[in-house]
Amino acid sequence: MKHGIVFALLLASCAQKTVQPTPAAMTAGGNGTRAGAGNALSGGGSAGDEVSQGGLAEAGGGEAQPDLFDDSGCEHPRVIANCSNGWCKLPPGCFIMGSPETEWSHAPQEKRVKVTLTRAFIMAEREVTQAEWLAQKLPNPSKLVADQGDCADADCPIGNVNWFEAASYANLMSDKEGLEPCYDFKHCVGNIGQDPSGLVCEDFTITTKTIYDCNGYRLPTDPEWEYAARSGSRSAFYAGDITTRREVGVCVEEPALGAIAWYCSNAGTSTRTVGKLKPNAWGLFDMIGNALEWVNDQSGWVPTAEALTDPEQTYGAGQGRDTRGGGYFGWPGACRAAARVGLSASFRSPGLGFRLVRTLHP
Amino acid sequence: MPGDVSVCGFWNAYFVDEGKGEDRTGKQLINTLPPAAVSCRQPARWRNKQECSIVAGSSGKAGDYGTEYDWMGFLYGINRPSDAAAPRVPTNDLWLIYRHACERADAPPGVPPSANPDACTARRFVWDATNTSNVTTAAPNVGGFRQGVEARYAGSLPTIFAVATQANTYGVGSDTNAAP
Repeated sequence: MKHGIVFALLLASCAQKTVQPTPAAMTAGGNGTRAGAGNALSGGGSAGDEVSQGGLAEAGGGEAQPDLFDDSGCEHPRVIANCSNGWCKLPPGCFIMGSPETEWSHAPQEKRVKVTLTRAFIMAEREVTQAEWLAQKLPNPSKLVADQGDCADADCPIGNVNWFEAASYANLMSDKEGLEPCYDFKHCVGNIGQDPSGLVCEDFTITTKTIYDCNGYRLPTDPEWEYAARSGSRSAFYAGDITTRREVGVCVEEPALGAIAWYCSNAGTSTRTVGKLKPNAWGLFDMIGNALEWVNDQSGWVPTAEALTDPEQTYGAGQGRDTRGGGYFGWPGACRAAARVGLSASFRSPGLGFRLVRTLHP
Repeated sequence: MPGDVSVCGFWNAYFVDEGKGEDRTGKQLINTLPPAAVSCRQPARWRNKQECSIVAGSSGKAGDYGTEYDWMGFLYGINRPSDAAAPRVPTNDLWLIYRHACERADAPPGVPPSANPDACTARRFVWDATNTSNVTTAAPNVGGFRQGVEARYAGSLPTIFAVATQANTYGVGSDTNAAP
């Protein structure tokens, strides 16, 4: 009896949920066409726009369950691609990070949370390329191993870099433009881009109180990356939901991915030149698939609050760092916007690259 | 007993006396007496569901290490995937990963294990060897499964990524630490 009442109340609560844009709304009008296209969010929506987030049953089938997540008070800003000179500007705003438990391949650390990012930032339109890396006079570590890994072209993503190398590249870019480097590395061995291990450090600090305070280039935090990748969508991919249900590591064609991502079904055995597929609604290319991307944050954090403001996990126990986007080898579950997998910061492998962001200070 | 430190641990055999009570979701626990049939196909995520913690009294914080139940499911899952097309870690590789983890955690990726490696005797074996925040044993006497996988499958990012993903799925990866 008690449970019945609670359930009824939850259903009533669900009916009054804040309306969010549908994945379909995000993709209508050209799947992430450039500024001015008809895919921008209104920031509000109408009752008809309500979407049951995920809406997919767990393995074994079953009916879709109502989504009871309380997203009240979290309003996503209007999504308009605002890109120039290889950088896209993203406004501050709130979004739902993570995925519903009903989403296929959902993992525990994807517990949903309302995240507010209070500062605008710019994100690289594309993954850092080998040409950009070489322009910094760094040796190119990209390679194929057993015929798998990094494609060989100036416009291919840089690969085979560890987290320290990616962050050091961000520092180099900051130095070049007279900005404050965000990372200060300590007790390092090796050099950026040099085989076999590249630059590996025992420790580091950031140069500002929070990573968001830094005005130099850096790696995106987990929330920034997901905010950017989702571009207002709440489906598994920014172009739609996951429809295939296979075990971890099994490659299968996913209808929503073909136009936007180089992934296991269409990439072959290596990354591809950047920017060839459709960008998302912010104007960002290859957010899903192609190079697996390092982000700033320590791997392994699970939100314990319902809402977070400017969360970061720069410091923490261990040296695991999150990776995002699934990579050229990624199966559909790995390519979900919420998916994050930690690897050792000193680990480098072909196919593992990054992109940069920078906080915009008023 | 949910949340009791005694049900948390890795690789050591802990016998769980659940008792009857409610977990944090309000779900009534089932009193299961051993031996009990369990499915190795469905991740138990015991740690995540019960919020058991190595650090006694840290309420609301998930434990840093999977329980024996979670690890057994994880190892079975990567060794015997139900889908024939899924990457499989054969038993011999599990052994090599173990050796890499305990002996070669600081070695460059791709360095093969020695022919007669030491066993992990007197070493703690965890997911991430660099995350020793809740292990009384200090590095280098901690072996990490993740480091072992990265060493064993160096050059095969898809395999490493698949194993790390499964670790999250089963709740043994460090990827379940709670945020402050």
